[in-house]
Amino acid sequence: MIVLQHILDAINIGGLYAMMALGIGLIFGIMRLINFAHGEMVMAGGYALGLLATLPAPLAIVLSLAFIIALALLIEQATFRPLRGQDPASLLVASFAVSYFLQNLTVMIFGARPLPFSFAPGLAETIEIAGLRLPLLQFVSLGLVIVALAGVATLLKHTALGIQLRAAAEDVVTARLSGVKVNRVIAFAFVISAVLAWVVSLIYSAQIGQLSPAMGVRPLIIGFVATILGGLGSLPGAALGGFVVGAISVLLDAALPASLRPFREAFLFGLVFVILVMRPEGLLRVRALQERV
Amino acid sequence: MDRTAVDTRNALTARGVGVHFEGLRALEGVDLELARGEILGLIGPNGAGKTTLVNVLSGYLKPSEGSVELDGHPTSGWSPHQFPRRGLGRTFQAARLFPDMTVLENVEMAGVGIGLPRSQARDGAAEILDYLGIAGRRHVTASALAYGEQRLVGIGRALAIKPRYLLLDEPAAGLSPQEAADLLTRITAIRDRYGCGILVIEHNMQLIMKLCDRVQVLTRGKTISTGSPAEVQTDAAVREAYLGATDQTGVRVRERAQAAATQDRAPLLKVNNLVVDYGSVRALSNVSISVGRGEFVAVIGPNGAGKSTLLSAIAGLTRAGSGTMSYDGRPLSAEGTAARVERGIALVPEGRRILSNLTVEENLRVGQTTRRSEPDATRRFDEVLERFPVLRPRLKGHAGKLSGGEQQQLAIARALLAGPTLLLLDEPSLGLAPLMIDSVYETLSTLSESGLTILLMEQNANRALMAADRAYVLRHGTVELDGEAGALRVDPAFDRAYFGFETRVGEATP
Amino acid sequence: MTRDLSPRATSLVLAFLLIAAVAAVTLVCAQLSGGSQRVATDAMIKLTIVVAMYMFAGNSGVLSFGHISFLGLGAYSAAWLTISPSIKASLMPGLPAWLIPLELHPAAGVIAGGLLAACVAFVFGLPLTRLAGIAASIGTFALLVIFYATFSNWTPVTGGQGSLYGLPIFTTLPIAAGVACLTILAAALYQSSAAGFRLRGSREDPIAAKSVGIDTRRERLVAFVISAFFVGMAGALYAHFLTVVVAGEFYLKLTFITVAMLVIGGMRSLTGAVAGTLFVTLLSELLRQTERGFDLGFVFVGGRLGLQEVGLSAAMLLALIFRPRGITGGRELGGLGTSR
Repeated sequence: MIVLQHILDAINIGGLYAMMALGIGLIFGIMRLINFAHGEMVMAGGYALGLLATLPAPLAIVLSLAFIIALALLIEQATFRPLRGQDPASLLVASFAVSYFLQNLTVMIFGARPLPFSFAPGLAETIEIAGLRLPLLQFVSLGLVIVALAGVATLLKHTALGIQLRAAAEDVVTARLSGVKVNRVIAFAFVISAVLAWVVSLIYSAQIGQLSPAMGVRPLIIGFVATILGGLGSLPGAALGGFVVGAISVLLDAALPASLRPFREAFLFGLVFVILVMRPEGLLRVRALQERV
Repeated sequence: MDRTAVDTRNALTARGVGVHFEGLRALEGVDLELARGEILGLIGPNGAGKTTLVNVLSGYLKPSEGSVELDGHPTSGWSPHQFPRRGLGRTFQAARLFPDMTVLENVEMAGVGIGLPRSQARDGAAEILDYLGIAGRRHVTASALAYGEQRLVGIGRALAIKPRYLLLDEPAAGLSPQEAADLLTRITAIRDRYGCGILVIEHNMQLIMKLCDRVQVLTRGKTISTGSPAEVQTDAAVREAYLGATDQTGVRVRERAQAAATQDRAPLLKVNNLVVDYGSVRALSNVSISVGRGEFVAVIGPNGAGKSTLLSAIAGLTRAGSGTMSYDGRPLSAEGTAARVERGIALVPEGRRILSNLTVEENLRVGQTTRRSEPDATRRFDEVLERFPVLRPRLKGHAGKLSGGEQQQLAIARALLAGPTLLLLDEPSLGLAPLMIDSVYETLSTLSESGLTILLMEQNANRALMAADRAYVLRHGTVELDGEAGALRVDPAFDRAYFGFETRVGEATP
Repeated sequence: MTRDLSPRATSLVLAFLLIAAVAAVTLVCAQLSGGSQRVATDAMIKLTIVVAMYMFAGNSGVLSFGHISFLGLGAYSAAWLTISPSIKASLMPGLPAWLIPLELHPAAGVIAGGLLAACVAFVFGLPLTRLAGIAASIGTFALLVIFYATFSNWTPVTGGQGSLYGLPIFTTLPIAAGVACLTILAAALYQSSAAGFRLRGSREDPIAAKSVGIDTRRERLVAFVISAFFVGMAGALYAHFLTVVVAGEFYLKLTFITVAMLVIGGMRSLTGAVAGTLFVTLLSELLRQTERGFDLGFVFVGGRLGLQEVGLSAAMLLALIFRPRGITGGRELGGLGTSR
């Protein structure tokens, strides 16, 4: 029973991280930009849902989703597009600045104190299935994770725009030569990434039960670890990385003595460090980043 | 020709060097000897592996097999930065100066790199700049230099390590004939002054033949000839390596029924006095070509002639400095690539550039981007698959797993799906085995016969001339010769236009 | 004139000018109220950090997000060495027995902080310097998270998320300014040295640098360790300025502020590091005043918490978009060392 519980936990957490990693990986693949502000997409989604909680659920969902997508596109147009073509370090710093900006804008508007999150409070009720007593939220989030990941996979594999996106992520010049409109494809990537962030924000906010301006930092950091693990530039790798981190997370929680458990983050990032060092060429294996002598 | 046994303690030697990556054999079983005081030329067509060999010699690339010795010491465990202290200096195809530093600092850096204190390194640098005659430019920032000066500073930088061996990678690329002649004198003077062995990679044949004591020819990663310049120059195997096999029995020479008719009509593509500069290098100077509707035109030329630049400009990837281009009567200048694709121009890039992370079918779908929503899209897709039957069974497989020839077919199929009226190809025979090359040209001939206008760039002149209606010879960014393909194949002026000198036995070298 | 001076002389002149400017600012601020002096002292400590970051980032071209870890290490060193034994024992029971009774002069803590940071930088720098470009920056970010997680969780040794108090006040404005000036001098001497020169070569073109004998790994490691030393000292000073050490200080906020100072000023010049610190300090102060709101006459515009940070990040984005090379554009004061 406990094992089943752990497995369910791992899938849930892994799915969450996989979605974060995908959101980050999508943008990186096509723009070579690590979007630190992705965490703030999650935060914004949470606040939007929280504010709209008084509306009927379907309306709240649609409006908050629209808001996140609009926000993502705005960020792309206003900050990342003018910076296109600059070196990766500048892009990294810029996304860091956007993240900081959004966090503190939220502080300005809503204050720094955490707000209670009460969207669909029915989700916290426990139900019993096969002898397990679990909150409804876990099942809902499991369902959402599966739908979201399957949806993204379908979009990328079976729609024309998805194929164009993957083409541009691999070789933007060749994609251009085939008539692919790169701006459109980038916007598409941001939209998908925003939707993924929205799903994460629903689940995550419900899990922690409150909203705070810096709430997006933890999911971002872990999504980041997952992306690096799976290999920057590889989308299936990002998703896989998410599940692996979820599994490692649950494993560490179960296996580590209580005194060491808080060091989980240190371990995770220690892992990032080791991976980066052991396979520095292999990790960033996107060919465009390697220089010819 | 006999050589006295090389004293390995005063030579840079390579034995049986092979380099394999990603299933490609870039070098195989290559031997090389560079003695101190000799000038060795390393030549060969594009993709032969010359720069790869230099990278192995200077430690930037580990050979998959074979060994390199510097003054008798094996270099197998060395990092690239250890070579300069042992006396091996090199330059790069793209000068690679330190852009924000001055000329003096660039050369000073090398002295500091081998361990000299800054003041000593700076004095040494000033002396070298003096010797090279550019002392007056010493405080100029490297990025502001003219191309020829950049190359000279690159050489100066290599001299600052007090080289016993110097590897120069295309030192004359982009230089005017006068500058190239000056360079020739300089290299010889450097050899005399430093007593170093100098290896020169070059495409400028005239320079090589006048400058070098010995010449080594690489093709497809193997050495096919070594000897004195005179010997190599008249070696038929060498000429064939560059121009392609002359004996092409069994190859169908294309029907050119409409050759006469196309002369009168307005050309489909007209390029007038095109000038393209990359920074301070002039890649194309007043190039004018025209391609008639339904014609098959080839642009032939050695590496560095500007062929890719020309295609790039036509496809809209590179901006021209001046000159005009028109397509189907309307000007081309302002449009971006996507617009040109929609107008009917499709480019098959050099090296094919297959999207290896996608399946074969997805690669094709990408090619169909602009015509996706047209009613006959499905029909066109099937038609293309008919033409390239080898692709149908591989549709769901990863494109990266196809062989070179199959990838070339995929690249052409992808371009065809855009429904082009003009097909541009950049070196379609590059890296392909002879049988594959035949297959590709068969396809192109068939396409041309069905009315498609084709413009291709090639080093493999003979093959292209057999398939094309007309051809231009491009060298150093200018059109040297043009005419009917059949006539050019036997025209004595052709070699001079392509190489810069005669290669047939009995003719005097200029 | 500058062309005839040797690089070392040029950089010493530059250092002299910048130090004179810092000294002038110090003198002016010393006349101001206590509150303003605190702001100035804090700015001087940040100046030390930013100049030290520049030593590494400016010369190597690799932006480090991990230097605040070294700041923390310096602060904790100060805590371990200067808090009175009785308080120490109650706050950090896990400390080794020989450390608890130590109660040294703050200056010793400053030096120790620098040395500890330098040693840690060496250990982590060995693998880090193998990474190229963006991977290196990501690696430094990993460093930041690893150390923050350690600081905030290793409670017996670091006090965890609680505050370590009882540090003697030591960092006055003149001391902070003095250390800042020392760091400026060190940066100037390093950048004109052969080692600094070689590192810049590896920044300009890593492949060409190898061809002239430059060992990029070694040069980066040297710069990383030296810069960590000065940041470590700044950490101890910081601890003696705040008189408390809290893990939460050594994480994203300070990282962002110091990176912003460097980037806005211009990552590639020493003048940039100084100018950026000055600019951002003034901007932050200005915004902090407006956070309290101001009276426009007909309406009172309410101040908002968070305005400072919003303003700073907006300034950073504007700088990146319009002046990617910073206020100074990567050039030094008076054209000194333009041909660096």
